[in-house]
Amino acid sequence: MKTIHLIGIATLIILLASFFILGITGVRTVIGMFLIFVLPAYLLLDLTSLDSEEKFFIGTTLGISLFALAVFFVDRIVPSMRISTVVVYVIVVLVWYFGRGKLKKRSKHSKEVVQDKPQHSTEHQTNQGNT
Amino acid sequence: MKRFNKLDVIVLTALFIMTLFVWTLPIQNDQLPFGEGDAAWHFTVGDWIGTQDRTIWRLPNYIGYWYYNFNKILGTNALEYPPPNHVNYAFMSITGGDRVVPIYIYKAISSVFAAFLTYFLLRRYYGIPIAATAAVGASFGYREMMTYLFGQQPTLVALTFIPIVLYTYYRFLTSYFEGKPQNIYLLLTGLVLAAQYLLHGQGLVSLFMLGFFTLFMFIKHRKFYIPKKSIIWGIVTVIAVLALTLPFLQIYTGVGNATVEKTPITRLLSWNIDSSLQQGSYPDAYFSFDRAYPTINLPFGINMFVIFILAGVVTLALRRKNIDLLILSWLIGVYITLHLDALVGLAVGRTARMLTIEAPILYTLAAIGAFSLLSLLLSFTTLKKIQKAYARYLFAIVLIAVIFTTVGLQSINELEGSYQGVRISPEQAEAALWMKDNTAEDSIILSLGQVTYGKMRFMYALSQRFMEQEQSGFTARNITNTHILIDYSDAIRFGQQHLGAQLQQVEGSLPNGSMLVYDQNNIRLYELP
Repeated sequence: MKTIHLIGIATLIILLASFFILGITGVRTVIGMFLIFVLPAYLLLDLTSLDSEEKFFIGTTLGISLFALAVFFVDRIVPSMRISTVVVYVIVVLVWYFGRGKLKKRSKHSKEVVQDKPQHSTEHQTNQGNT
Repeated sequence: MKRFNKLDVIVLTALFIMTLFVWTLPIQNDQLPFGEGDAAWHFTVGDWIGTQDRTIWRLPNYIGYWYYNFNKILGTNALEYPPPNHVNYAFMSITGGDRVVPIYIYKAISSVFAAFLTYFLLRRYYGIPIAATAAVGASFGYREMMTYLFGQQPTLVALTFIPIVLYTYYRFLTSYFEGKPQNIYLLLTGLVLAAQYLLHGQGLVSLFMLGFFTLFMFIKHRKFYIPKKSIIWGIVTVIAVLALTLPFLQIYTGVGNATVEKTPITRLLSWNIDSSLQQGSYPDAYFSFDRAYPTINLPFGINMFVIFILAGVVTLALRRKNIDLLILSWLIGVYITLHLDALVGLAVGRTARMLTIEAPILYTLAAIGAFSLLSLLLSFTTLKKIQKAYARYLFAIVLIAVIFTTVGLQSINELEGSYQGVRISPEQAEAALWMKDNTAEDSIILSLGQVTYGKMRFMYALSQRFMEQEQSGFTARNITNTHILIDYSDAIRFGQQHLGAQLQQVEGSLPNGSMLVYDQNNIRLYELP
């Protein structure tokens, strides 16, 4: 079994446990936590060279504080918290989608450089995500 | 540095389910809100945002009256905290589909977040057995639990971020000394610090730990250079942090500092805070080391847990790898934080509140110490490498079992029985909801009869109407009450005949023209002429 499959099973177990402990409210809240605190920051950190665990833990930490702040700022203009949340979400997903596309292009370019100049390119690849 | 594997997924899933079950115990059987005045205040702000579908920069009047004129710069209806904590309450309330339970689930999980972050930090450098042991210990942090029950949520959550601040800064500084600075971690450190500040300014005590770690690393490596790219990243980090935090600076600076006397400098010689310094504010047990940590008694009154902590400190001090220096800096930073009352005259109450940062570091040290002693013992055996590895996992299971059967079971009992019978009752909640739907938004209510302050405050929260228990509360705010709530339900429930008689006397002397508008379950609301 691959780790990703195990994560899927773990998610299912967590949702079931939430249901047995706190009912449907528990399930909805746990899903809400994931959507609000985990996912948006994870997507943004997905544009960096961080590994998946870093994206998850650092992202969740940032998500607890900064996602709410982003919604607060948008809500100064858009007169609804719910709509502001959707706006922030759309912005995050668009940044992730287009940013990811650019990263893919860049990493494809890097691979080509690796084939031409192995020594230089190794250093380039190492630094790429961090600069 | 080790990457996560399947066992990590299993451990983290088990840890999440266990913490979800244990920390939500107070809300599983009784789904009405609980906590002290602070809990009610935070709930009130978050609940208002959720029900109105608007985040706020100015509090509505009924909340603004609560800590009236608290902020001298921003005025009467200023926020008392930056928005994130209360907006999170609103998010949870909306996604969970309920005004109360989802907020308490968020409070429960965020209170114990440090356990997960401790796991993340330790797992990468010390392996699963140490990480799992420390995380399970931290998940039963007694001071965190008490603070969660009382309701000082923003401070508590801000302080849980410490392991991540340490991690991100560690990654930056170690890469710097390796000659290849990974500047993304510098930016992330700044952002996590900003995230802490936006929950509560006290979160910035992390800077003590970062300061000591920087010092130790420069002493160890004796190397100083300034890479151009790091300067640019440093500037970007500062700009990002200022942009996020400056708009809310006056929320903190407008409050001003109360003058307090420094506690005696001799307090620096003891780790614990003497409970006598905070009598009335916290129960004595809050300061008790024996209540907060597992007691494994050895002959001569020696506690094995303390031995493990000391072994951890000695191991780190002798080995002095970069990560060891980070953990030592964490310890020193915690010591400084917990002695700010003696060092700079911070109110002892504030220092006491920050005791929530103690459990993750002490369990970390104890786990490192315990496994170092095990390694020492194993070095005298002829066991194979794989057998030694199994022995470490077995030892972790034993330690976790000890933690669970000592502080774990105590915590479960404590959480299960907390606020049972003394939180807002269903009848009071019903009355509060009626007031929300049937009285004017600017109603000012004198509320009499609730046996605890918390009950009245949660009626205030659920009704979204300003309430006070004494007339002097209105005078101080230059307002007059429009209603009077006479609540016999607690007097009957707790058999307090004297209280019942007092309420009858008040009801008998209401001004002419007072109109009874609500009369259910021994709770009566009068509209005054």
